[in-house]
Amino acid sequence: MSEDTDFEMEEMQEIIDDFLVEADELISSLDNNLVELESQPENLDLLNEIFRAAHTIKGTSSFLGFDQVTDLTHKMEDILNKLRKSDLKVSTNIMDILLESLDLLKVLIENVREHKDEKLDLDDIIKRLVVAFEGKDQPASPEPALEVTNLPENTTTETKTVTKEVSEVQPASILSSASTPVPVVDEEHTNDEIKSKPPKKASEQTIRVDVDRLDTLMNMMGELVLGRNSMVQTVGKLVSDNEGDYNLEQLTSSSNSINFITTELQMAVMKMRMQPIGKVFKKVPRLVRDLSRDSGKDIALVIKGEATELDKSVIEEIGDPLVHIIRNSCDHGIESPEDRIAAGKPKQGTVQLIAEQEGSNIIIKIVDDGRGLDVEAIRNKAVERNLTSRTEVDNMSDKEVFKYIFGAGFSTAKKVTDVSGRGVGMDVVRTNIEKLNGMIELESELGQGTTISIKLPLTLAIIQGLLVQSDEEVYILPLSSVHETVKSEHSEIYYVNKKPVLRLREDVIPIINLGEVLRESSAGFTLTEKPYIVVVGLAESKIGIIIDKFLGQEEVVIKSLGDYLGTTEGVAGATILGDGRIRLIVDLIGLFNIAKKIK
Amino acid sequence: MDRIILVVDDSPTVIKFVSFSLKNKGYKVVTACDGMDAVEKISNMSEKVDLVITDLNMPNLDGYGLIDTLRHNDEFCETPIIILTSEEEEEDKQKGIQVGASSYLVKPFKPALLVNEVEKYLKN
Repeated sequence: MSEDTDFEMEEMQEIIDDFLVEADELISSLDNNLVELESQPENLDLLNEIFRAAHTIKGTSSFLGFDQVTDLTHKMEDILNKLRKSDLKVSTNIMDILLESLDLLKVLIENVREHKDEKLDLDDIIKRLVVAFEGKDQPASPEPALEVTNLPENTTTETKTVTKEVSEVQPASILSSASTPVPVVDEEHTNDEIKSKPPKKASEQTIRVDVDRLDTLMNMMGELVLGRNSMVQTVGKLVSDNEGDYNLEQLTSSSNSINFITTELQMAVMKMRMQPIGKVFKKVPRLVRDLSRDSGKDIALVIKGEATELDKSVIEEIGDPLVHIIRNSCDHGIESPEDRIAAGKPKQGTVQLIAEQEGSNIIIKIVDDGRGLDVEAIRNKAVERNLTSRTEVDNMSDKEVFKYIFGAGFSTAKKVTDVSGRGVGMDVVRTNIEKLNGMIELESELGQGTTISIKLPLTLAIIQGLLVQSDEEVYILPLSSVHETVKSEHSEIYYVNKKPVLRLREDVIPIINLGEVLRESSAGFTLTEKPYIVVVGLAESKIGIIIDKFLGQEEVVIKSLGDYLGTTEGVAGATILGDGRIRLIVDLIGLFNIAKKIK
Repeated sequence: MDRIILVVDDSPTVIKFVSFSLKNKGYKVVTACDGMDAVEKISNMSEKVDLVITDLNMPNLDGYGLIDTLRHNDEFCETPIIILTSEEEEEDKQKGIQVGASSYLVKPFKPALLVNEVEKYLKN
């Protein structure tokens, strides 16, 4: 840290905070642009953008006395400068060194953020950067097209000093193995667009706001929604009781406009918390590039819909599951080039990452054209692990069988690799998606590929609730988890192990009695004369809830039950409805858990 | 009357660093994120800018372009311009002086050094 005493502590911290935000943005753009550069080594605009990012980090870090950051970016900048002046050519070796430097840079920036004073050992990478800068890497490359050109005889002062350092280095140490660059096909930003993309402005028309303040705003917004609901309901009652009252008509019109404005305001507040999912997708090109390099596969990545927006809290949670799924797709899904050719497929495999909005949900799809899931292998494994019986599993549809892969410790991979196959992946994915009240679906055809669809609510704080009545009590179900509602026909209800299930088209869905399950009554499955079933989904599973009545749909704000009630399983919280009454919001994860426990 | 200084840099960190240094000494600071932005700001201001501090490597309009533009404008042909640069190469500095900069500072520098340089021009 700088020993500068010219600034007040607070000022210094403010400058450092700004630096961290700026560095994060620049690093993330470097991450993407470097991977992109590999497939478009001649793109000068791209090179200039990359150069400028490294240059800026170097400049700003030097102000603040973060010497290691400065040294590293300085050496990166030197190479980038040569690349953009065509004194050097983009090679896989250079890309590897640059990407590795970038990874170290991330660590350095993290250390700054966490006020860690420890120094990293940068000697090795700096030596390699210098060697690469000298153009001496001449890799024994299997791809002659990517070979490095000879260093032209330009001798600036800089090159001279550098040459001295180089003499001690053994160039052989930096030779790396064969590689496959990942062509990133970004359908929304074609090459032309990159060229015309205006460089990022430092002072965009934005201000940074503390997340706590946004949360407060959202909470107050929630209260306002509750107040609005109650007002609208009361006014409605008054009007129907006293028809023709002039003042009441006035009140109605005010109430209507407040109602309207509240809805608009709520949208605006929610939008403020929305961030494009591209923020998460940004990590992916690099991930796919590294995975394909390590495994010797040829994988193209297609990203669509990165502008789709969702709540910040959802964005934060979705990153890890996505990485898991993409890893699986690259590692288990896509075959090696030889296998693909043998199977009559194009040598290059494709992984698609698609986001789209559907009503108040966002759908994220990960599609690969790899080898697909082997249903029989999963059937065998499920029997082997005593999860089900042979007869049962043989009668299941493929879709139902696939659900087993979301179980803990379930893996059919014959060999466990570094990245995946340890059987933890999909389990973690499921848990994360459940936390977000999301649903996950998997489709796969052997030899053709796998599609995983994740459906998530756009926001968590204010939800659309479905009001249902069961045994005199009113409950609220999150509408985003509701698949459909059906009128129960007793002819479609069967018993498996004495538990009722509903046959709905291809699916067999267990059904529960909401009131009884929440009371943890031993029965839990009494099928009285309840006429309706709500089919809800959670991650990969579905369950049918029998109810007496549908009461309507309302926007509800989740309030916690407070400490003394603590965590009541099956209840996510409570809310105040328009009529002023407190109702419980059903927590589907808890509900599923209780239902499983009931014998 | 407060002296007004226009600071042009594409890095918010540098902008903040320079602004704090100058504001602590009682100067009024106006900021711009690139040459183009600077030209726009300077031509829309009702008050006169007393000094310009600019980076060289910037998107849209770079430092050389900005200096050139200002020097060809009657109002700003005499305004002191200090270049902030992390280009160590001599020719870059020379080029800056040639297009009309008054002096240059190489990044990084201490706030005191910057203030010294500014006071060279703005001492009454």
